[in-house]
Amino acid sequence: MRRHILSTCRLIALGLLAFAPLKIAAPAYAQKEDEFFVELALNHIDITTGFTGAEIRLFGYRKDKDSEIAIYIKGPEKNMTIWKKAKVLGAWVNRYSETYKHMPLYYDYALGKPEEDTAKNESLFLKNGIGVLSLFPVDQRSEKTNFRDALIADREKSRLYPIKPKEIRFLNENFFRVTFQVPAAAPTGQYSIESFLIKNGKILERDTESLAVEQVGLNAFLFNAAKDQAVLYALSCIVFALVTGWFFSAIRVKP
Amino acid sequence: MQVYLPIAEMSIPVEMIFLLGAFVGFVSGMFGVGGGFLTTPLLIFMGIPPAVAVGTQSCQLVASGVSGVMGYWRKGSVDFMVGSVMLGGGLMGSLLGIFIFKFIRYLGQIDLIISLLYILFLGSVGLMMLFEGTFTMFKKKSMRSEFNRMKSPSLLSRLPYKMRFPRSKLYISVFVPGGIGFVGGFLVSTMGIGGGFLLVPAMIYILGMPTLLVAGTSLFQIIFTSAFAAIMHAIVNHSVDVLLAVILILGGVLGARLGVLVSRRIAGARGRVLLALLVLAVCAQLGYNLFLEPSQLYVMTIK
Repeated sequence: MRRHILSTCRLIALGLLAFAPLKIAAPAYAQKEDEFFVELALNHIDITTGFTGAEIRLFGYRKDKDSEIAIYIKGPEKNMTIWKKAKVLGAWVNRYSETYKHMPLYYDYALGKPEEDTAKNESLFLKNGIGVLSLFPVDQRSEKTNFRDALIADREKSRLYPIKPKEIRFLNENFFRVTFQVPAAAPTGQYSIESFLIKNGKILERDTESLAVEQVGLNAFLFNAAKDQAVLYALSCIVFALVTGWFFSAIRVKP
Repeated sequence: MQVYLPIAEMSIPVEMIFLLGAFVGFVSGMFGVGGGFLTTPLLIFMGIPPAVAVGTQSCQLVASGVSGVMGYWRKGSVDFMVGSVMLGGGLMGSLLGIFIFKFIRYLGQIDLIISLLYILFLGSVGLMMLFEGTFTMFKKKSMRSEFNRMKSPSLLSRLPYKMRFPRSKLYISVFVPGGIGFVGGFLVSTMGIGGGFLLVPAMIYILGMPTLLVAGTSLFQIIFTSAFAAIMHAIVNHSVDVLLAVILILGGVLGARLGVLVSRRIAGARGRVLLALLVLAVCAQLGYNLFLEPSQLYVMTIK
C-alpha cells in the first residue's frame, strides 16, 4: 500500500515536472529521488470479455543525459519444448525435441538507440536479460540453432516476442516514454519490467516494476468458478446444454 | 465480434464459432452422429488448445444430442431400451478410456496416436458405409438383410443373457448393444468424440436395428456418455470453457433442427453415402497432415 501511494506520488510529480519549467523543478526533485526511475502508467491490465490486446505505457526520468537506457518486460515463465518432425514408417511424427526451461511466454524490450546501443553493449545486454537471445543458455546464443530459431519464430508469429527492439522516446533530455504492445494471446499472470541506466558499459542504476495481467468481471468469475467450484461449474454447463437443447427442439417449426 | 474466452484464455471471433457450431449441429441432426469428429479438429485448427476443444465440445454434444433426440422422439424413432443397455456399456467404456488416455499421454506422442486412431476408424467406417450405401442406392435393395443372415448364426447369437427388444424387433444378448456402447464410451473419453459415426453403422450392421431407429437411439446414448465425459473433463482438467460452449451450443441447436428437417427428405441410403463422404474427407485431411511433408517442421509445446 505504501509503495502504491509512493508510486502514485512519483507519477504525479513526474506529470507536473514534464510541464513545469525544468530549471526550477528538476534539481528539487533529484535531491529526493535517485538519478533514475521508471514508472508504469497503469500497474494492471484487465482482461474483459471484449479484450483484444492492450498497451503498456512507461514513463521515466534520468538525470545524466549522456547515459543510455535499456528496458525489458517479461511475462510469466514456462518450459517450452520444440519438436522436430521426422518420417517414421511413412508418417511425419514429433521425433526430436529440445526443451528450454523457464522461458517467458511474453517478452519485449526497448532501447534508446537500438542499433547503436546493441553494438556498444552487446555482452552487457546478454548478461542482464536484454534482448531475445539473452533468454537462451549461453552455448546457444552465438551459434544459430534450428530449435532456438524455431522457438523464436513461433513466438514472433503470435507477436509475443519482438522482431526488433522498441525505441525509447525522449520527451526532452531527461524524460522518456516507452509503449509496449500486448496482443490478445498474451498470457495472464505477473509481468516484470526491468530498467537499466547504463554508462560506459556499466550498469549504474536499476529499477524494477511489476504488472498484473488478469481477467476481470464475468471472465474472472467464470475462470475462478471452473477452478474452485469444478463440480458446480460442470453441472451448470450440462444443465445449460440440456435446457438449451430441449428449448430449441420444443419450438415447433410449421411445415 | 471478438470475445475473450475465460478458460481457453484467448480471443476468438464469435461468428466463426457460431457457424462452426451450426454446421456441426446440422450434420448431427441429419445423420444422428454427434459430430465431435468434426468439431474437435476444427476447433484445434482455430487455435483452441486441444484439451479445451475436447472438453468443451463434449458439452456441446449434450445440447445437440437432446435437440436431435427430441426431434426423433416425436417421430417415434428412438428405442429407449436398446439405448439404455448401450448406455450401461458406454459409461464403463468412458471410465476405462479416461485411465487409458492418461497412460498414453504419459508415454508421449498422444497427437500421433489420436491421428492414427481417427484415420483407422474414420477410414474403415467411411469406406464400409460408402460401399453399402452406393450398392443400396443402385440396387434398390438393402444389403442389410444379407448381413444379418451372415452374422446371426455366428458367435453373437451364442452369447448369454438374451433380451427381447420389441421396438427394434430384436432378440439378442445384452452384451451386443452393451459392447457397442462400451466402444462408443471409450471413444468419448480417449478421442473426444461422441462416437456416433462408429455407433450408427455398428447398430445397423452388427445389431441389425432398423435404420429408422438408429440415429435417434445413438443420439440418446451419446447425450449421457458425453455429459459424463464433460463433467469428468471439467473436474479433472478444468478444460470446459463455458463461453465457448454457449456459442457452440446456440449454433448447434439451430443447425440440428435444420438437420432433422432435411433428414426426412433424404432417403436412408443417400444419407449414408453423404455421411460416408464427409467421414472420408476428414480422414483424408488427417492422413494428408500425417503422411505428407509438413510445411512446419517444428512445433512447440508449452508446459
